[in-house]
Amino acid sequence: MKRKASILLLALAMVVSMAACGGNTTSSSGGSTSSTAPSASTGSAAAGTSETATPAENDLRESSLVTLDVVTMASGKEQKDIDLVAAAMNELLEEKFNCNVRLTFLSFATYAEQTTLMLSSGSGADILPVYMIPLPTAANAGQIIPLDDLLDKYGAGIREQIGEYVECGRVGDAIYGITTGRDLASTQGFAMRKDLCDKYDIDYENIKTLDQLKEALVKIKEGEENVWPVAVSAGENIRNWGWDPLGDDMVNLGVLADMAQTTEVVNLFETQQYSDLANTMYEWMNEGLIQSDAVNTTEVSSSLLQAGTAFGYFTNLKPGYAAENTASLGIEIVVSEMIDALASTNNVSRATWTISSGCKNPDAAMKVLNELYTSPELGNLYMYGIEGTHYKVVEAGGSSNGQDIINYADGLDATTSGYRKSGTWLTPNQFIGHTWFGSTADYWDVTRKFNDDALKSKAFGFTYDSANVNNEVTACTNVVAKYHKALMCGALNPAETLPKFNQELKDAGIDRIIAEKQTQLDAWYAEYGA
Amino acid sequence: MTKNTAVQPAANNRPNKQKVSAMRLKRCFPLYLMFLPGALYLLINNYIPMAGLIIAFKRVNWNKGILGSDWAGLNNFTYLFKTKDAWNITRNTLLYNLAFIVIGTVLAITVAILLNEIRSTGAKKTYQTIILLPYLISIVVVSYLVFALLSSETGFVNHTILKSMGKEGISWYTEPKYWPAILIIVHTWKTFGYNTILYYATIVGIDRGYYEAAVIDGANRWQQVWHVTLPSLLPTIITLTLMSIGKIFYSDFGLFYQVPMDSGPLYDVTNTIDTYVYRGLVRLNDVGMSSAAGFYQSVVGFVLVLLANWTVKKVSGDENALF
Repeated sequence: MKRKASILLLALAMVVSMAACGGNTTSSSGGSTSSTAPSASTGSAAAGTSETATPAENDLRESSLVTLDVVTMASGKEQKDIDLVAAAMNELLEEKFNCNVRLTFLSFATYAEQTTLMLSSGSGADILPVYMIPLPTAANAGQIIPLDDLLDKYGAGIREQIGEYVECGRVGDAIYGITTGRDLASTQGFAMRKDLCDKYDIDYENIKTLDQLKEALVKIKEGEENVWPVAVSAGENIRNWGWDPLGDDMVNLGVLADMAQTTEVVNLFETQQYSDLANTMYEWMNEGLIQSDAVNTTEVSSSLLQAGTAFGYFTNLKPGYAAENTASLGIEIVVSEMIDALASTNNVSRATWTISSGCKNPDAAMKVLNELYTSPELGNLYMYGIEGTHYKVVEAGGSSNGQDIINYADGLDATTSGYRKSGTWLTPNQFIGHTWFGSTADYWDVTRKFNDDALKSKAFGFTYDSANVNNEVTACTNVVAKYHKALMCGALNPAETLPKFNQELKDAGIDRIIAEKQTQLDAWYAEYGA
Repeated sequence: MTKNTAVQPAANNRPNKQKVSAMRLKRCFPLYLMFLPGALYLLINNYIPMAGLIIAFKRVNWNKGILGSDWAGLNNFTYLFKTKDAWNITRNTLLYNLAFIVIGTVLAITVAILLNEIRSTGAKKTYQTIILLPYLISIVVVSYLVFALLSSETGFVNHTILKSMGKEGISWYTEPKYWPAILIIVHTWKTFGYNTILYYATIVGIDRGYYEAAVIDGANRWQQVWHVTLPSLLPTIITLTLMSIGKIFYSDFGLFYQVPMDSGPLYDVTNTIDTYVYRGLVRLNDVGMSSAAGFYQSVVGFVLVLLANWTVKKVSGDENALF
C-alpha cells in the first residue's frame, strides 16, 4: 500500500516538475513571442530616428527592404497570376517605400479558421482584414495592434477616404481596424439566375416577401428537375434578416430586433421574427426548396449556380450587386430586395483592415495600407490585376470618379482569368478604383449615397466589448453553433428545437450577456444621446 | 554486473563504483544511442509542450507574451462546466473509445482466426489486403465515402436502399441518434484490419504441435480455437488492450471532425475533447479557454491511466501492468 502511494506521489511529482520546468521553457518561448513587441517598438524607433535624420525630405522609404504579407479573401479558386500582380505592385511600393508585399488569398470557407490560426501564431500575415471573427476579440487578445498613432503619422489619406467611419473600428480606447471603402449598410434579399427567371416568367423586381419568393421557387422546383431553388454557402443560409446584432453578427447574442428601431436588447432566438423565419425555412426544406445537404455542405452557393445545379441564394445586397456578381460568376444574376437597407456598426466593423501584432514593421505596414486606400494605381492592381493581361479598358475615364470602365481582357472570363475578380469588396478601397463594365458609371457615387441614405440602427456607432462576459459568450457561442445555422437552413424542426435551444442558451448565461449589452448601450446613449 | 559490484570490498568502493559505471556506460553506449532519438522525440513532442499548460490559467494577450499575461485563475474553466459541455465531451470520448476497444478487439480476433483457417495462399493474401486497405485511406476520403452513402438526396442509403424498401429518406446529418452507430461502424471498418494482422501474426507463430496434440485428443475445430488459439493469444490481447486504454482519453480527431462534416446538430454526440478544443480555438479565437479544455483532458486522462493500470495489476498481476 505504502509502495503504491509512493508511486502515485512520484507520478504526481513528475507532472508537477514537468509543469515547473514547463514554466522555464515558456519563458524562452514567451520571450520569442514578446520579442515581436520590442522589435515593433524598435521598428517605430528606427522610423522615428530616420525621420529626425532626414526631416527636410519627408522620406517615407524604409532603410532596408521590408517584405509584408498581405492576406485577403478570394473565391478560393487557384489564383495563378498572384506572383505576377505582386511583382507589379512591388515595383510601385519599392520605389516609394522600399517595401515589398507577398499576397495571400484565402477562400470563404476557411477564411475565419485560417486567419485565426495566423493571428494566434503571429505569422503569415502582417496586414489583413479581420472578417467573420469579432474585431474586439482579436483586439482584446492582443493579436492586432492599436492604430491611432500610426494613423496620425501615415494614415491621413485613410482618414480622408473613410471619414467618420474610421471610428467604428474602435475597441475600448483605440482604433484597431479600418473599414473598407464599400457599401456600409445592407439590404437583405435573394440573388438568382436571370435565365431561369425569364424562362418561368418570374417578376423578380417585385418580390418583396418570403411568400412571394416561395411562389417563384415552387415554379423552379416543378419545372427544373436537377436544380435546387435555394443554395446555401458552407452551411449558412440566412445571416441577417433585418436586425442589429450589436457586435457579433455570426452568433447574434443579444440584438436590436425588427430593423433595430428600439433601444431594448433582446434575445433574437426568442423573438417572433426568428421563430417565423425558422418555421418558413423548415417548411421550405420539407418541400424540397432548399438544398437538402445544406447543413454539411462546404460549397459556396454561387459555385452551385455556376455549375447550373441551383437557382439562387439568400444574401446581403448593395447597389450594383447583380452587375458585380454577373461579372464575377460569368452568369447573369438578378436580385430581389426584401429587407430595406439598414446600417449598423456591424456593417462597418464586420470587415476591417488590421495590422497583426506579429508584424515586425508596423510603420511600413501602415504606409502600404494608406497607399492601398489612396493610390488608384496600386488599388487597381490589387483589385483587378494587370491591365492588358487580366482586364482591358472599355472606356478610359468613363467612371464618375475619373477612373476607367473595364472588363475582362480579350479571351478571358470569370473562370479563365488568372487573377480574381471576386472578393473586391474586402479590398481596402474600391471607391478610388475602376468601375467594372456593366455597372453604372456613377456606381461609386451611388454606393456613397446608399451608405448615407440607409436607415440607421438605433445603436449605429456603438461598439460592444464582451470582456466582462467572456465565459458566457464562449458557452453561448457553442450552443448557437449547434442550432442556429441548421435552423436557418430549415434542417431542424423549430417546434422541437427552439425551446431546447433557448433553454441551453439560458443555462449558458445569455441573460447576463443581454444585460451587459444593455448596460453598455445605455451608457453609450447617456453619452451620445439616443 | 550487479554481482560484480556486490563482490567489491567496501573500502575501495568509491573509485571502483565510478569505474564500473564508466564501464557500464561504455558497454551500453550503443543502447543509449538507440534510445536517444526516441527520447528526443518524446521530449520535444510530449514533454516540452506541457509548458503550454500554463496558458490555461492566463488571460492571454499576445502583446504581453504568455508569461507576461495576466493570471486568470480558474476563470478559463468556468465555461466548460456552465453548460453540459464538459460532461458531454467526457462521456463521448470515453464511451466511443470503450466501444472501439471492445468491438475492435473481438472483430479483429475473429477475423484473424478465420484467416488462419484459409488454406489457399492466394485467397489469404487477397483477403489480408482487402481488410487492410481502409486503414490506409485518408480520413477525408473516408468522410466523403460516408457522405456518398448518407447524403440525403443522392446518397446510396436514402436513394437506393430505403427507396426500394418504400421508406422515407432520413436526413442523416441532422439526426444525432444514428451517429454513435455510424461512427463506431466507420472506425471499426477503418482500423480492424490492422489489428487483425497483429493477431494473425501471433496465431501463425503458435506451435503446430499443440494443434496436433489437440486433434489426437479428439478436439474439433471449435475446441481447438477455444483451448489452443485463444489462450495463446491472451498476452497479445492484454498488451494491445492496455495500450488502447492508455489512450482512452485521446480521440481520433479525423473521425470525429471530418466524418460528421462539422454538422452543428450532431455536436452533442460527435464532440470529443479534441474536436472541442479545436473548435474552441478556431471559432472563439480564445487560446486560454481551449487550453483549459486541453488541461482538463490531461488531468482526467492521467487519472484514467492510473486507474486502468491499477485494475490490470489487480486482475492479472504485476508482469502485465505498464508500471
